[in-house]
This record gives sequence, C-alpha cells and structure tokens, in this order.
Amino acid sequence: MSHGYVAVQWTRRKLIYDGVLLAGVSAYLLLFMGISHWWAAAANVPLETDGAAIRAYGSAAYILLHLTLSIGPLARLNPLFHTLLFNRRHMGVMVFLLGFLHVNGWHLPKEPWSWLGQKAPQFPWSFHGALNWYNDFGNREPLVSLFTSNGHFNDFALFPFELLGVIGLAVLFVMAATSHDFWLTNLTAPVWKAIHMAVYVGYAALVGHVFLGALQTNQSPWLAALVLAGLVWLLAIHLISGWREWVIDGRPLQPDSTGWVDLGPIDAIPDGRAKVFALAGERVALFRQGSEFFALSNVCQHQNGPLGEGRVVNGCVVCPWHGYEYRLETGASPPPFTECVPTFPVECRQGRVRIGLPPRPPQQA
Amino acid sequence: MISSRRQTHRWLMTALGVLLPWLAVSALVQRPEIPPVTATAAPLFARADLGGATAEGALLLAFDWPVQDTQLKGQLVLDPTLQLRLIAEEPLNLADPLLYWSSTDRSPESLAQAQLLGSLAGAGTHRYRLPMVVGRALRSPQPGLLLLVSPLDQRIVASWTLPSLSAGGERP
Repeated sequence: MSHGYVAVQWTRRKLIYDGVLLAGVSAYLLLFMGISHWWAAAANVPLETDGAAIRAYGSAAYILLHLTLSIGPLARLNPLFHTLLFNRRHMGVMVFLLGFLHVNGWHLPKEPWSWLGQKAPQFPWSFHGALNWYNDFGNREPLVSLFTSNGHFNDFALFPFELLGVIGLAVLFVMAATSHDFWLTNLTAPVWKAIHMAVYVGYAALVGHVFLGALQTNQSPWLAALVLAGLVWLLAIHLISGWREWVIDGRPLQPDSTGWVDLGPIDAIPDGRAKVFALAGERVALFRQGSEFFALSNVCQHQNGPLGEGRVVNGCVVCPWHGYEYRLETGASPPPFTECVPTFPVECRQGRVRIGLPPRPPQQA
Repeated sequence: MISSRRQTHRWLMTALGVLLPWLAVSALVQRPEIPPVTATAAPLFARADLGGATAEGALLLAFDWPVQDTQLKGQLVLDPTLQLRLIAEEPLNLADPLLYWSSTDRSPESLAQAQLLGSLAGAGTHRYRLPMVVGRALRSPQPGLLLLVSPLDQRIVASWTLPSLSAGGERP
C-alpha cells in the first residue's frame, strides 16, 4: 500500500533554516560578483560577467555540497551539530539548483518570444550558463558539442571533465527529486538511504570535474590548496566518524544460553541518558530514568536516526535528527503518530543490567 | 543508519579516501604548461561583444588569410589588451569551425598543446582576446600559427603563420 502525498509542512524552525540558507547563498553570490567587478576594475580589464557568474554558481554549489556532506559526520562526532541535520535535505536541493544554474544559466527561453518576432525579456542578473558556451553559439546543439568536443579519454590531464560534471549533476538531481518524505515513506527508509548514498559517487565525480576542469585552466596555487583542503576535510571527518562507529559495531554482545545479554553494571548507565550496544546485528539503546531501565531499537523509523543520542521528554525519546518520538515503555509514537520501534525486556540483578532476546515486536499505541 | 548501510558507508569512504587524493594530486601534478582552454574559459567570452571587447583600439597589424573560397581579414588590436579580429564576409562552409593558436612553426598533428581561441561560426567580425602566452609569442621571433579546425571531422582545415610583431617594429 502506498503512502499518500503530504505537502511540505512548514514550521517556524524550517522557515528559519531555509531563510539562513537562502541568505547565505545570496550573500556568497553577491560577494563573488562584487569582488570580481572590483578586481577587474583594479586591473583595468573588462569583466566577463557571464564567466564570473558561471564560476560563482559553480563554486557556491561545490562549497555547499561540502557543507551538506559535513553535517552527517559532524553530528556523529558532536551532538551540537544535530540542529543542522534537521533540514539537511533542503541544502541538498539547493546544491542541485546552484549546479543547474551553473550549467544552464539564468534566462528565459527564446520561445515563445521568437514566434512573435521578439527577443526574450532579460531577467535581472541573467547570464548564459556553461552549457551555452559549448560551440560558442555556433550552429550545433550545445549538448551535442558538450559530449563530442572533447575526446581525450586516454589523456589524464585533458580528460573530458564535462562528463564527470554531468554524472555529478545527474546524481544530485536524483537526490533532489526523491528528497521529499513522500519518497522516503514509499521507498522505506533503508531503500531511500541506500539510494541517497549515491551522493558520494556524485561527490567523487564532482571532485574529478573540478580537478580536471577548473583547476587545469586556473592554475592559482591558492585555489588548488583551497579545493584540496575541502577534500581532505570531508574525507577525514567521514573516516574518523566511520571509525568511531566501527568501534561500537566491531564488539557485538552475545546472549547466554537463556537468551539474556549482560550489558554491565547499572552504574555505568548515566541517569537520563542512554548507552548504545551492538547486538544481534543491530544496535540497541538502553535508557535509564532514575531506577528504571528501558531498551529500544536504536533505529528511528523515519530516517534510521540514532535514538540513543536523543533526549527523553515526557517519557518519550526524541530522535535527534528530525524529532520523531517513541514511548520508552512500548516503543510506539504518541497519537496521532503511528511509527513504532521494537523494545526489549530488561531486568536488573545483583547490580547489573540485562536485556532479553528476542525483542518484542513493535506495538502501536 | 542500520548496520549494513554503515558498513557500506565505511567501505565507500575508505575507497574514496584512496581514490580521490590520488586523483587530485595526479591532476595537479600533470597539469600541462599551457593551460588547456575549455569552452567556458576566458577567451571565448570575448566573442561577439559578450566579453567587453570594444570596436576601437590601436591597430598593430593587418593581414589576409585565404580559407576555402573566402578571404578572412585579420587584425591585431591593442584595446587595452591584445585582441585578434577576424572578419569573414560570408560564413565558412564548415560546421562550427573553431580557431586555435599553436606555438609551433608548422601545422601540428594534434591539438593537445594548442590554445582554443574561439568560434569562427557565421559571417561578420569575430573578436578574440588573446591569452598572455599568445601575446608573448607574437612579440618573439616565433609567433606561432592560427589553426582553423573542424570539430566534426576532427581535423585542421587551414593554418596561417602569424607575422611577428617584433619584426614589424610596432610593439604593443
């Protein structure tokens, strides 16, 4: 049974998030163009405004992609970054839009104006994107030129970097098109997450696009250092956070012959917080509320967020990613919501806490 | 994130951690001495008045270049940077002809080391802002060649040996 479409539900928090995002991107673009104008005036050369705009939108997309991909591992390393995770998908959509404008430009199509014998009206700040310059307004379709003008497939430095850009943009399009919760619910979170992991393939293609494209023609050592630093930063935080996750996953606990698993001394579990354990191929979050203990699957049903890192409010654990709530006793979301996660029987004996297998099936409120 | 996705993520990032630094360093190390000019690089924007090339300027040199049945009229102009103008009274009988510059003194077999200057499609005046490397060559005894290329046929249709500005006594 498929999930019905529900429009984006705007909350104050989402509006603030998107407002900051839009303001940041606009400020960057204005600053880039302003500095380009100032630089050209200082050097007494005419500014190629279209070229500057192509670079402004392309670099904005590339930087924002780095920021977007940094949020996940940063949130794994420090809970302070959970706030940024909340609406990360809108950042991804913005990356695609900026990349699309880098390619296509910002102008109205010739039709239907040409049918009336008129020129299309100009947008403010309109420009011709990178694709329009292939064959320089000649009599061949730019898309044909894009795919045929560079055939140096066996030459590393002259490799057709344009194709890598096309691959990157195609991946970003798939991400943006399936970013809505409609797709998340219909595809289920594991499938949706698997599809969205392709963003790393897109990122790799875009790194190739920049290093074999822009950095071949622009040989400024500062630009190369900046782009290299972005790459090293992103790889480093992903590898560090991945290693920390591996430390937990690499030591799975085993049940004894009676089906119970010893999780250690009671005092090792901080009050009001949770501790996460790897168990039976998945993770379990053990929460402590005073003298009471509750064990839930660590996997949120929305986007598989880590429930063990969430706060407990009114007897419900709140997923740190998007605020989905589950009752500690039953694993069910409070009405009217219907999500639920499996829970585990817990017992305390001789100063130690144990949980039982198999888990109780999810039960709706 | 469920554990299988975490594992895939770890493998993927480890692979990228090896592949991307290698790609980045190789791309920087193997950069050609003369930067390859792509369709979005600076000189193309000087075409068709889109890049701020102006009609006025000091004429340094004028020449004629016979191509097919057409006589292209060429001008080197200082305005304020070095510009090349090519005037075609009628369009060349080629699909999307492109203009390159090569530092060699004879027509090269490959365009790998040639500089793309822009398109010569259509009739009229075509303006190209010349990169610094071309300006330097024009002031030397070996000013290089203009090459007319048909991307459709992947061949050099015509070439023209540029006269040296230093020999003519007119220096920009």
